[in-house]
Amino acid sequence: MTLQGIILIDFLALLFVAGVLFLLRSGRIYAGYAALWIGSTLVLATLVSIPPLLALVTTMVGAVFPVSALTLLAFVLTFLVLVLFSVKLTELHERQTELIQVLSLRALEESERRATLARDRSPSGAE
Amino acid sequence: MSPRAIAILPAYNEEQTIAKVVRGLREAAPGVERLVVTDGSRDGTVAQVTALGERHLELVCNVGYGRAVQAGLHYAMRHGYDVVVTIDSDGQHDPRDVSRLIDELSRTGADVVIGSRFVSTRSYRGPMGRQLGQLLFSLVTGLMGQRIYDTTSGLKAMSAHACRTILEGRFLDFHTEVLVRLRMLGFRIAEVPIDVHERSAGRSMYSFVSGLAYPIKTGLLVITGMIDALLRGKPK
Repeated sequence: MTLQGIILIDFLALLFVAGVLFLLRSGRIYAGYAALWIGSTLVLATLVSIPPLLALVTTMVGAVFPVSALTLLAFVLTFLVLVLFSVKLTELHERQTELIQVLSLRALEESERRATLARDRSPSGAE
Repeated sequence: MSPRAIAILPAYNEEQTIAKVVRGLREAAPGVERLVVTDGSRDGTVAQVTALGERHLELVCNVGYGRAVQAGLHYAMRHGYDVVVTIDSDGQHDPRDVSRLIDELSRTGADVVIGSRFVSTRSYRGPMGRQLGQLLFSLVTGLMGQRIYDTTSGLKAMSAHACRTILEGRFLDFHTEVLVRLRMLGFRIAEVPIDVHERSAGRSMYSFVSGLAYPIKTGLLVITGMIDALLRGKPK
């Protein structure tokens, strides 16, 4: 990769990291997710910035061109992040469903308890 | 002594049919208590049920058929019912079949009795995709040692033991995957022929897309249910 390309990618990576930090500071992203994105970006930026390291990774993954190896790594990282988010979404959905069920069960049981109490207290209920 | 039974009616936007179904149940099965689960209905279902003075579990958001039934099962198990019957709120089932299913449960000692649309010569035709899925999963249950002809029937009677076991497992669709898991755990499942009426009002929860996705989704659930039964289940 040319020096110009390395500088451009590192600049974009820095912008991305700054953006994620801004989101973290404003409370719009959890620290764990921010760490995930920043970590992934730094890994890719490091690979781009150190050509011998990128060449080694290219050989390891069986790619012919360094750009192909980078694309593959980016794809794998994105895939893993998407799976992680699917898991998180499912967890949230499960919690929401459980919450809805518990709320409705409590509301019904409370209304039944009150009805029983009222029935027991009324003169006709004492029959 | 007859078992203490409750009918669970999951209802999503069924304002046009719910009153008729409830009245039908009151008349046809007076000894069976009822619990309508209004699954985030946006129409007048809740108002209808309230006006009828019917006990209902009001889910504030739509959580889907399986989860609505799950909420009803939780209620039934917390209140010590011996038998739970699920019945659709769209008026397709005959309320008189509820008592038949409960009687069959007591008579045969089965853990689950399914009101089956396919077990006899009486014919029921659903959408093509669903029919294919139905046939496929019926054959899958055959591999478990007992072919179940109607794996997607909404009319089922279940013993408390079966309900508790169902609640212990993963719970999504409450159809084939539940039956396969129960079968693998050694539960007895029986089928009783029933007639179903065409839906007269409201919208079915099945669409063209869901009809296509159904076999794939249910297939995955069946596989996970089988793994679950193999890994965690104890023979009955």
